[in-house]
Amino acid sequence: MRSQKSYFANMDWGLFFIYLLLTIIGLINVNSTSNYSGHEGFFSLSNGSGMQLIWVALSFVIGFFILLLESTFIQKTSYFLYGISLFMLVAVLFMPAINGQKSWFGFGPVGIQPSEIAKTATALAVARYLTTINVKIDDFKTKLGVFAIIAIPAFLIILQPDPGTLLVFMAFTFVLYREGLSGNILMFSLFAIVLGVLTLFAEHSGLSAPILSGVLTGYKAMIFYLFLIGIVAFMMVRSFTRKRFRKRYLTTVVIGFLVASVFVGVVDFTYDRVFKDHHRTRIELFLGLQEDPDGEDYNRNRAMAAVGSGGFYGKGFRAATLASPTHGHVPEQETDFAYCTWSEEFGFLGSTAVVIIFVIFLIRIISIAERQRSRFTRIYGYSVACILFIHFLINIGMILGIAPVVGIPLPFISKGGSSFLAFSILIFVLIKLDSDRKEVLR
Amino acid sequence: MKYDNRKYVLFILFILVGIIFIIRLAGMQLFTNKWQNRATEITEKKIDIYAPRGIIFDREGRKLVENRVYYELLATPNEINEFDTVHFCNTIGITKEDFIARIEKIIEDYDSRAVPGVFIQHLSQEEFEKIEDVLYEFRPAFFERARTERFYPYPVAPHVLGYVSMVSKEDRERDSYFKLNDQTGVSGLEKFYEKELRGRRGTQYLIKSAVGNDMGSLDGGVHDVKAINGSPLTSTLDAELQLYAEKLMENKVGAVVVIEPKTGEILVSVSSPGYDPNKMTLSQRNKYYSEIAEDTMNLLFNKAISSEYPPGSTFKLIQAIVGMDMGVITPQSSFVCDGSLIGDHIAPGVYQMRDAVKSSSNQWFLLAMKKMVQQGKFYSHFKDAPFGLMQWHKEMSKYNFGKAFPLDIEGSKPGLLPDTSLYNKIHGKGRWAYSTIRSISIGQGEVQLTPLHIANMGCVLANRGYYYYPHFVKSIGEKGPKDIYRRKIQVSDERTNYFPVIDAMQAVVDEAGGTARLARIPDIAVCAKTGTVENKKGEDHSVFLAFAPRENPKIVVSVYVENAGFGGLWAGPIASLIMEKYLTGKISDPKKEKRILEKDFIHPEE
Repeated sequence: MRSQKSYFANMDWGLFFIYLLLTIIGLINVNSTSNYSGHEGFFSLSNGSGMQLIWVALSFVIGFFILLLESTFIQKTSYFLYGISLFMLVAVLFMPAINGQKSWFGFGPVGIQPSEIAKTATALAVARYLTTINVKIDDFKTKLGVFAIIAIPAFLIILQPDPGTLLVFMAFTFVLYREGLSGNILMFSLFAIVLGVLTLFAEHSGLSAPILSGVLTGYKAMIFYLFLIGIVAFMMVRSFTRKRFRKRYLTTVVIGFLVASVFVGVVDFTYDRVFKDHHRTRIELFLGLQEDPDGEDYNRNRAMAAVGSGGFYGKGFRAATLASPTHGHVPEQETDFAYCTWSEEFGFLGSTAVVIIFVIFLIRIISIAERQRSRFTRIYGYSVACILFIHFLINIGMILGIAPVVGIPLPFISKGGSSFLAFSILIFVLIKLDSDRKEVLR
Repeated sequence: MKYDNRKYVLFILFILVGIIFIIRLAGMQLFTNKWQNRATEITEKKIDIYAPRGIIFDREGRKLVENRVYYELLATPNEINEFDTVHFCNTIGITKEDFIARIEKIIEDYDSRAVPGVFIQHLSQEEFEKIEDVLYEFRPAFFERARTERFYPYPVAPHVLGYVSMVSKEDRERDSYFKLNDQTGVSGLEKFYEKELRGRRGTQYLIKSAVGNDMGSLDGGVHDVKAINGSPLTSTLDAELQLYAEKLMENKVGAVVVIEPKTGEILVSVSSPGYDPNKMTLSQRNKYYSEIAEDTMNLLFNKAISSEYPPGSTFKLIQAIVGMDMGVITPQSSFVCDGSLIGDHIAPGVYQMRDAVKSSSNQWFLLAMKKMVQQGKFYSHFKDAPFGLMQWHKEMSKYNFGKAFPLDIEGSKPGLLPDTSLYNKIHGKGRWAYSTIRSISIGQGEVQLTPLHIANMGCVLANRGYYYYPHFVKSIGEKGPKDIYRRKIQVSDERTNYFPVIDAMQAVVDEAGGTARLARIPDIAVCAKTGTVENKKGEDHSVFLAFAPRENPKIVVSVYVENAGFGGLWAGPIASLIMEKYLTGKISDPKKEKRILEKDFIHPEE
């Protein structure tokens, strides 16, 4: 039997304090972003910042109960939770659409997004699956299994549709990478992104091949240049490699060229034929191929103006002129664009502080994951870090104009009760699992 | 473990993203103004605060021109919806075509659909109240803006005060201060003192919300620039006297100019028929402009300073003085006046200067000027006359004849003081002598003066040899009149040469045989001269010049009534009533006043 004290004995207070710090920053910011009349109390139920406080309190209570659970219990109920979350993801598709998305269960003023719960559940399920005896990541069957665990909720989320949360599920790629998935996949992804972007630029800049300039334009010109690169690579292989490796290398060059060419073609086709106008516009705005600050690019432009006008010290608490609830220049400034308000009101100092806190938070989580004897906890820890990282990357990246506009909240900072609760559970489960790290070898 | 090192890949990734974000933040927040400026563009709204134009007072501090509110109806093109259009047109009472044209003008003016522009420029208080009740249906696409326009408590002196218009494109190109929808004076004092009267436009910086609502002033208003009210002007006009003079001139064509001789301040300037300046305000002009501008009587024309008339016998006064200054005649010079050379009213006889002036002898002045022009320096009259005329012209020029006055309103005309070259042009060099040009001796023929010139001539007489440039503004804000109006202009140093003429002028009024017996004022020594100008087109013009009192004169009046016949009959009494009103504040002879008020030269009797 353990004493009551031991429930918290091995708890990682450092992690908890960073969590608390982000929560406080979030509450301050929610108060500013919800300050509609300016005459209400610091936390008032009528303007929504009080609701956020209630959700924070609720999260702490639930978090406390999580700490009272047995780690093994959490581990054992992983699939069960995963099942429930899948059920909810299906059920939510029958709810009325809000802003064109069927992603909410509404209970009066309180709403719950099953996709938030699905993140935690999927993380647990992946951890559980990969720690099952006889499951090895190197097996194709295992890869297929893990892919299925991630893809099913992801697919259901596409149906809502909620592209932001979908991106979050990409986070598991990093988790699997840590667990032994080949790094080539990450490399290929990176190449693919670079090649894809280059193709779009080529299409727009009217890139053409030096000969046959009338015929070979856009993606065709890209393929032409890829071909030239291929020739150069071919020559280099011929000249600088040993004979016995040569055949292998040459095959790689040829296949690489063919795959890249097909990929470029597919990107071009997808872009022209599959994407709708508003997708194209969004991508072109993001790549700076088009400008429309008061039209299509309204949100991003306003967000960037809000951040940029913050200066070094910011305009002061509740003094934002753009990302202010009453002025309304920045849409969604309480939720997805909450960082704008923070950045405008607390300037470079405040903005940088949040970035640094997040980075420390993420590194702390990875460090915690790495010190586990239990693979389950480690995989779960990585999942937590990577989920938070994607949110951090996309949300702030979007506000700073270096990531496309995707509706995705900034953990603990954006207003939204169910989102805060989900992220808190994510963290409390990790704290719980971590506190039991010395107990058993799971 | 096998893949332990892969954690560093993630560490590096996290830190890298953190660093990229911080660099990006620094770039946006610290090292460029781009986003700061963009934020300004998005959130700040600059509003022009119009400065009310300066008030114009009369010499006694009575308001001649003040401001009152009128309304502009503004529209923001991109906020108008289809429903508005039809309903709005019906409510306001305009056609759909007109509506579209106005909206397109706004878009063109500002090159934007989001900027509100003026839809209806001028709505008087009453007109606005009529639509105010229904306007709420069309907000915020349509909204009003209060502006100020001129209002004239004394509806007098329209030609002097001038009027105000919205600036034209040319105005904006000429003066960079002007912006669309500014007002500017286009005539009279409003134009001449435009820079003083308009004050300085202010600017208010507001924070605006995404939907365009005002969210209070930017940074507590520290950037705001207060509008500076236009400087008040104190005019030299006497509103009551002006009003009285205009009343006397009702239904008569002509002009009255009254000047305070000691200062050159113009007390009254009437051009009749005129118009009610309240009809030319921004909100009223649409209704009345064509009525005023197209009147056959040329109501906008300022006869007092722009009409060039032959001065008639009033010119004899200066002839007498110039003759003495030139040393060719004396008060005692006697000429035979028998009407043999020119028609004359005086009883045949030999007269000296005093009687000649008193009874306005034509022959006397014809012979007197002959002495000035034909001085006998050359044997041939055809050489002698051009020489003498040049000397005469030089002396006469000192009275500003033939030259425009540097007046503080536009339109001062020079008149015509004929000289040798003019007659050379008309008759050919060496082909004219005094006998050819002699009608100018009595203020007929080529010589032409404006009523202002005639009044100024009276000032020189009243002052015995000097004058100040006539002007309409005594002080601008706290400052006095412009420097040019403070300079005394000496015409003649021979002060004594004026005495016999002035003495004769009093006789014109006071003595039996004087031509201006109707101009007498009890207990005040009035000096005057009548004029009756022959007019080929119709009845003679009635001219009168007077000043009073004889010693230490306070007022000079010049009256010119077209087609009214003998000078002493109409112009004289008008001048005397004005002088009496000014000097005593009352009218001793109501019958005289009634006779003038009832006389109608414009509308012929049935």
